[in-house]
Amino acid sequence: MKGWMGKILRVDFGEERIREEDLPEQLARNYIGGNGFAARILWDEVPKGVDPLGPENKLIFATGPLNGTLWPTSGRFKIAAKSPLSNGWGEGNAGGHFAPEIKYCGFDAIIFEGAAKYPVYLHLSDDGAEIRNAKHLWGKDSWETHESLRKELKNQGLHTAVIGQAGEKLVRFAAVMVDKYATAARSGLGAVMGSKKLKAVVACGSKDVLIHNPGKFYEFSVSAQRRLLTHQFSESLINYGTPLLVSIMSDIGRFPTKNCQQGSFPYADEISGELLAKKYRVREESCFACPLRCKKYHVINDGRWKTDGGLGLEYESLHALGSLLWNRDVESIIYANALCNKYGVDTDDIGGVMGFAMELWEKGILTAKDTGEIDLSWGNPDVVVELVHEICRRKGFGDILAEGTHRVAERLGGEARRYEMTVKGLDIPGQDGRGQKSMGLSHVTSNRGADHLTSAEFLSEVGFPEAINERFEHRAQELYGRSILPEGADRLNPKFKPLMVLDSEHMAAVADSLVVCKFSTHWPPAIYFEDAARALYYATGIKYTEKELRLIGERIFVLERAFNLREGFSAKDDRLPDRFTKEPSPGGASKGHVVELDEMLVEYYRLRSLDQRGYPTVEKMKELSLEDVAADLGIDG
Amino acid sequence: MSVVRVVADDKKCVGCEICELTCANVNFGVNNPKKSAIYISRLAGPEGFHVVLCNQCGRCAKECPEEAIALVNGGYRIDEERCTLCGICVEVCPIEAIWWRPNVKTPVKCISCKACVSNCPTQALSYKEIAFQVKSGLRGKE
Repeated sequence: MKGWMGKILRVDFGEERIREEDLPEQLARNYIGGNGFAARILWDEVPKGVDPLGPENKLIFATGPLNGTLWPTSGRFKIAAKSPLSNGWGEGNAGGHFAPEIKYCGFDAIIFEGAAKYPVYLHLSDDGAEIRNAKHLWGKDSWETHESLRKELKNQGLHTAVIGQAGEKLVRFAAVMVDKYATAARSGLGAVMGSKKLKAVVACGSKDVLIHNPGKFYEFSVSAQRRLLTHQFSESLINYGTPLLVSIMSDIGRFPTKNCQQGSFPYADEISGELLAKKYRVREESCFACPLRCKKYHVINDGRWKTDGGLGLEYESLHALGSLLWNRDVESIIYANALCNKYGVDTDDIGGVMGFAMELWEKGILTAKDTGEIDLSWGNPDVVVELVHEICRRKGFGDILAEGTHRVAERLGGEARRYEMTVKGLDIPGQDGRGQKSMGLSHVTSNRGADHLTSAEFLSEVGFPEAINERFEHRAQELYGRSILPEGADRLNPKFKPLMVLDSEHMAAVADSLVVCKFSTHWPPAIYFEDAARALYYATGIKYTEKELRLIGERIFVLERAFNLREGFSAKDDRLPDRFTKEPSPGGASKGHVVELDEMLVEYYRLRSLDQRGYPTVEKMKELSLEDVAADLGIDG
Repeated sequence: MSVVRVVADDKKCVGCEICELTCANVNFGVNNPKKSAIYISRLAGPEGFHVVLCNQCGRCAKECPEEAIALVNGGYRIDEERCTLCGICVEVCPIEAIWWRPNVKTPVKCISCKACVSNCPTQALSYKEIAFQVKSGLRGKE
């Protein structure tokens, strides 16, 4: 096998046994890697109804055939399990420099089963894998854990994926922290790691990733690197990273503010990318094999929020710890973000549950008696930081919030449910769908719950007609006999958005299986199916075509959905909170708009061949070679 | 005669490892930064990165008991045929820029092929050509 390492590592904590298995060729060929592997393995091995935080759940780390190579953004990997937030398909994705090391140690994927009796970590090297005692690391935050491991193993080249205290305490939205600053954030996978008492996975290897045609692969990778670096949309990402979006998104009314009551934040300029660059940035960093250096390092030198903020303050955190809570104190956001990284939690969900609680306070549903005397009035930076500590340590009121917005809302019942901004148990991330209709749809169709990256349909955000034309014109003509423009580029017009979301989901599923960053395949839109097919051919020797890759992307996406369907999900779960569909956006550039969800969803279901229950048709399952899955789901002709 | 010295500006380095991958691809035909002759030492804090690579000072060539290291196209190269794997070059390198690399027979050092220079996305790498005279040693000339 070329591209792949040809081995899966199976770590069974219950039996305290480690096994190396050959990577099945059909799995490699038909599912590529990353999400593809994870979807197939979870489907085959995690039966319906298991407790996500119990030993029957399995946690998967998966790379793909391009990881560890010069191909741009090849430093990512996927983590997947049944999610303790959604009780369905759970996945996270992280950059940094860890993923290539899994391959340099000789493996494509790792499957963790069972639960250890005491805290452990997994040590990977050229000599194989070893389960080691991690009692001395339990209780440490993710940064301390990373530094301690590098120090005690006397290896500064060691890369790590660890949990902080939030994962240990089974905070339902705990994250896995990679090399300190990169985060496999969503779906609560840090809690799954914690439930297995797996504190860390460390890797440092030196095996080659073998390539079918090294000369061609090198040439094509170098040209792809250059294309990405010089793409017209790359410059702003290079200059500011994702925080560049703060001002733009607030301007177009897509920046969730005050628990999504509104889509623009009047103080956006006070927490913007431009401001961060000017006042707090000390350096920049790239993930492995990426030319875009979108990660910026922030330090606050003095004052009450004095802190080494580290890398990875993203747009999502500026929204979740800022506008969503009406918090305009940028230094408190830098501080709280670093805390979230140390504790190891998803900022989207922790911000979401805080915003939810603040709105309940505003509406009088929560009072000082409920919160342990914490005043949850909007926009108090001290309270934001205090709540991060309390939630991640499961102290007092924080212990309740650590269950996540959806469970808190269920527990309170009644009017509180109106303010629950979640889909399938995940909090709405940094896009108000009323300001970009395709994102409203994406939050609903994403298999892991409210998510922007499962489709990553960013092209209609501020309307990039050329790129939209290039990617979707052919499909619009094929399906509707009409031109994608101008409606496709109008973020407020639901027209064509189902098609754009669907196609983007398939490309994203391929990106998540290669595994590469969507800041190469979706934004900037530099790499598409044809490029991926060619890179795969040079790397693996298998003649993938664009058509086949589209089919594989669809197969992976549908298999993830099937995982949810088996767990009892159906069309009724493909819903947005009423706020987005019934309350018109109150001001700003998207004023008066709601998400026309039903209209878009009907068309999306048609394009995805889903019946009214939300199940794929038997014909579609045949086309995707998922007959066995269809049979298990009881889908028949 | 002249040597070609690849020079790194640590302040511009963003740690992407593209130089390491390029080196391993071009010189060893593999995707594996552990075989690279350029090495990014990462200090995960605010300090950033330090790039380690040979400055072609020629000390290793002088000390090699087998005379297996010679200047070829601007860079000192280790002749695999003559090298007896004694490791003296690794020990004497004043900037620790010659390494034993896993699964590579002889020590690895930069041969000034310059492939990394053009692939660096931040222009942190450049090269200088330096005139070389036996008596006075290296004399800077851009």
